[in-house]
Amino acid sequence: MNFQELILALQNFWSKHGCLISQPYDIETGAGTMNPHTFLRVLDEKPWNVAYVEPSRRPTDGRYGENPFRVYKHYQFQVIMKPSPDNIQDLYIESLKAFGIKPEEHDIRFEEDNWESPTLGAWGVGWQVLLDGMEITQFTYFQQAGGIDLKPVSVEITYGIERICMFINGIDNMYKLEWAHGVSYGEIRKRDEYEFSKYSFELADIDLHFKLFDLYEAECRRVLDEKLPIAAFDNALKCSHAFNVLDARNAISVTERARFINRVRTLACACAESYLEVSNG
Amino acid sequence: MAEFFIEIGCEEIPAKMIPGSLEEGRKLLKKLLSNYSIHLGEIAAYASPTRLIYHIPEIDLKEADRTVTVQGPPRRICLNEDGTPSRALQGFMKKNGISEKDIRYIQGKTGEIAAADVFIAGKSTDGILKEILPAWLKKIPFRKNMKWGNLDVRFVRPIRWICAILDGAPLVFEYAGVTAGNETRGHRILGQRNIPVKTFGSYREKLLQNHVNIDPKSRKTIIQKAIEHFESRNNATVIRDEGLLNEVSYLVEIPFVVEGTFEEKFLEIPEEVLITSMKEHQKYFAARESDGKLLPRFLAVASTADDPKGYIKLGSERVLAARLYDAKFFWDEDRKKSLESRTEKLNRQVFQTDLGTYGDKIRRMQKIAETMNRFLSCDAASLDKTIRLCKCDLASDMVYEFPELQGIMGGLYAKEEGEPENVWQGIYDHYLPGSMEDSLPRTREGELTAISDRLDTFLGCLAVGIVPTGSKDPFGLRRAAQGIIRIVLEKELDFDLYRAIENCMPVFDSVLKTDRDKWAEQAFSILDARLRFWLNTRGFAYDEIDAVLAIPHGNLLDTLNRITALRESRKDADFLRVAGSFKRIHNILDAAEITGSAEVTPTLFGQAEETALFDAMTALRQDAVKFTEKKDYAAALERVGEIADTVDRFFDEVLVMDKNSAVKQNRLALLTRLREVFLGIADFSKLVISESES
Repeated sequence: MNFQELILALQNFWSKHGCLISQPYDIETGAGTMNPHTFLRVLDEKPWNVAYVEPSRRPTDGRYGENPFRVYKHYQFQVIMKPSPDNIQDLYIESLKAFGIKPEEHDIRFEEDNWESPTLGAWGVGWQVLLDGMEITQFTYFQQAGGIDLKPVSVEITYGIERICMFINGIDNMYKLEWAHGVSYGEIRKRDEYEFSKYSFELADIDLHFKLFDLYEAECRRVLDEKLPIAAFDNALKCSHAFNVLDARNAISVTERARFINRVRTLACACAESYLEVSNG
Repeated sequence: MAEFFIEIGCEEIPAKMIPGSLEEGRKLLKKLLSNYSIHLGEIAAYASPTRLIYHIPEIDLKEADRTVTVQGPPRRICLNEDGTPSRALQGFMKKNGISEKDIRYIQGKTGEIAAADVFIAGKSTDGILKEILPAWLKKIPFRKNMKWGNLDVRFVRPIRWICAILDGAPLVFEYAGVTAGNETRGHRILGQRNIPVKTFGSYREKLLQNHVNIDPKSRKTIIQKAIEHFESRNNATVIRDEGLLNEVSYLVEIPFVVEGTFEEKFLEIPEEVLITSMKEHQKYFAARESDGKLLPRFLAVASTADDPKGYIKLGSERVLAARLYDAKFFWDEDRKKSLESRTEKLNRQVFQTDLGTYGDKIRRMQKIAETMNRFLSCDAASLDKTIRLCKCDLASDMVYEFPELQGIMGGLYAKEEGEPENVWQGIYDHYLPGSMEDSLPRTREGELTAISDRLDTFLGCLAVGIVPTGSKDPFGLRRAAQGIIRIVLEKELDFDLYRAIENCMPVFDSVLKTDRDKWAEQAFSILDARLRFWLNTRGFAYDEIDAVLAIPHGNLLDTLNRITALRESRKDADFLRVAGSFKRIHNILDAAEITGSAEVTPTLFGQAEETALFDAMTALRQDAVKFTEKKDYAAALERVGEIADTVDRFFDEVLVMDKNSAVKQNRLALLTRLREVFLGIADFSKLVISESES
């Protein structure tokens, strides 16, 4: 099963189990959790079931297309179900069958791995799922997002699709995966990896990104004052990405790092609070 | 007598939390049941990743019926003037369902009160359990709890089923949206669902058939057997790791041990890295050949019955290969830069906000080590080098990836760079000892670096107000103090540690945030507590420890010598007699008002026993000084025993508190001097002498 088929299989499976198939967000995110379809939608009490692919940009993970396991941008397959269904672990195991894993032939284990996102003021309790010793999924019951205690609790399932695809095809190099129709992952992604790595580590204009951070931060606050938290949150995401670029450029010292993370968290928490206020009010 | 058992079925509980919480849950259940008059046998506890199980093989089905005496109002308000029951008495009767004829009067604490024998029908165990189990589930402590779904319940992981059986029948109650019943569940993938059970025996049996072994001990034994089997077939030794063994036995429903291999080329990576990579990241066991060389093989424990297609073996090998590929990359990359060149990065890496960076820490450590080394004899240049390089590996890729290899990597890199053995081993060992059982640094450089590092953390944190309280000790200050004590005592470093520490205190002048005296007091009291603990593990009794710590101390070896001698002297009846009198001397001197000169005036003696004691004291003092200078405390204490008769006769015949003030003061002076002589050895008045000893 190639990369494209794997995504289609996951989409079909979760669609069949009641999830909306949504699309990636159109602003840079570091993980599927930052997509408003997760971050904002898990805050309120309304049931919400969604699944989508999220291209996740992590500038510090860039390796110029040279490391077969680590990349500037990878793809996550994200599932959110609220409230978390009682049979969610069974559903998850079922989903593995969708891409050809026969669970009885493998060792599938749920090992404690609690998730935390300091920039989003979010944390949850859960596991990494190991398939024959390899981590293929992060499985989390959200406890807090944007500093708000969640009720009902959403469950988040994040599949690392490159890893899974490598696993089921027995391939040890991400770039050698088949995307579809004989076209490789490398053909689609390798040049991007080189360019974005070079850009993030060597070229990105540091002053500009510090300015961008300040500007987006101010814009986020201004829009929040107008009680438009969804629009405001886009600006918080922009801040987060600017920070990631600066981090990759080594432009932020250890102590400043904590301060910047705190600034993004403050915005994310304010957006979350405002989102709830607007939904309830 | 009947049987009760309960299984709380959960999504996977973190392996490391299970043993502790399982036992807490057992104690809690026992405690809750003890509030009722039910006889029950010992509660046994079992667990797998997805269930906590408690089994009571014998339990009464009902509380015993019983008659208890209940107490009512005071007699004086029980009857109205006309002799009819007052409202107070009526209330008492109504509450207990009794009539006037049941009332008798008994003596209460403040006078006569009404009382009656009341029959209480025992409650059924079924009802009791239904009442207490929900409360119990709420209280089982876990390090971290969570919420799920739409519930307000918190537990370690979502509860998905509860199987509870009393005397063969389901015990129905509700908790966390789950109704307890008589059904259990097998292995999530290999087993069946909704398996009805009646007895604990059949429950255990049916679960085994469904690929769940509920007994952690049995799972552990199976793993151990597989390890031994591997060893005998391969003439190899698997590296034993009790912590890892325990953890994996709580990670699996049933253990299946998979044997894997990795490419020989990875053996060029230091074995410390290979073993850590296998253990920490993958929870695999590493193995050695008979000659001690690491084998390119490993054992993994899977939670399944079999590996029919070999996928588990293949997968484990691939994951480990990817890890080792990374490790090799770090090993090669790290060695391209010298350790020394990493110091620059340490100047930016924060150790603790108020204490600055690792660069600051190292500079303080250098000063501390130099001060310590005035009392010891380590080559100054190699000591300084060890300290300068000891934290550099914190800035390496390998330690970033494997934090548990800190120190060890620094040592290995230093070795690669051609540093002499005492330096690289010093770096390698400087986090030792990590625990009471851990080994100690091999070289003097290692010892002094380890001590300086801990002393810096210990004094530094206390100086900025980070003080351990109760179970909270985030910077491990107690452990740091314990490490210092262990190194000094077990490596027999013969110097006055406490004085050396006092000399180091000015190093912290610029960061000190608290009162200087309070800071020092805190530091030495924690050190004393750890010294006590160490002495206690060596079998010294509390009173012996009190005796040697009540006098000025600081050279730990000297304290050890004194207490060793003291323990021996306990066998000497004469010495024990003096110790008893010493207590009396303390009492007299503490109560007396001493106004006279500290000097004893022999001409004021009126009784022969006084003169005898004075002479004995003077002679003893000379000998005691002589012996203590030679550190021969055994001889000194034996010599103390020799004056037992003289001391006894003095107290038999002489009244210290004489009416004549001059005589009295003179006698007090004599006792004061005698006390000084005793305290020069140990405050053995602290000994608690038992009947059998005296």
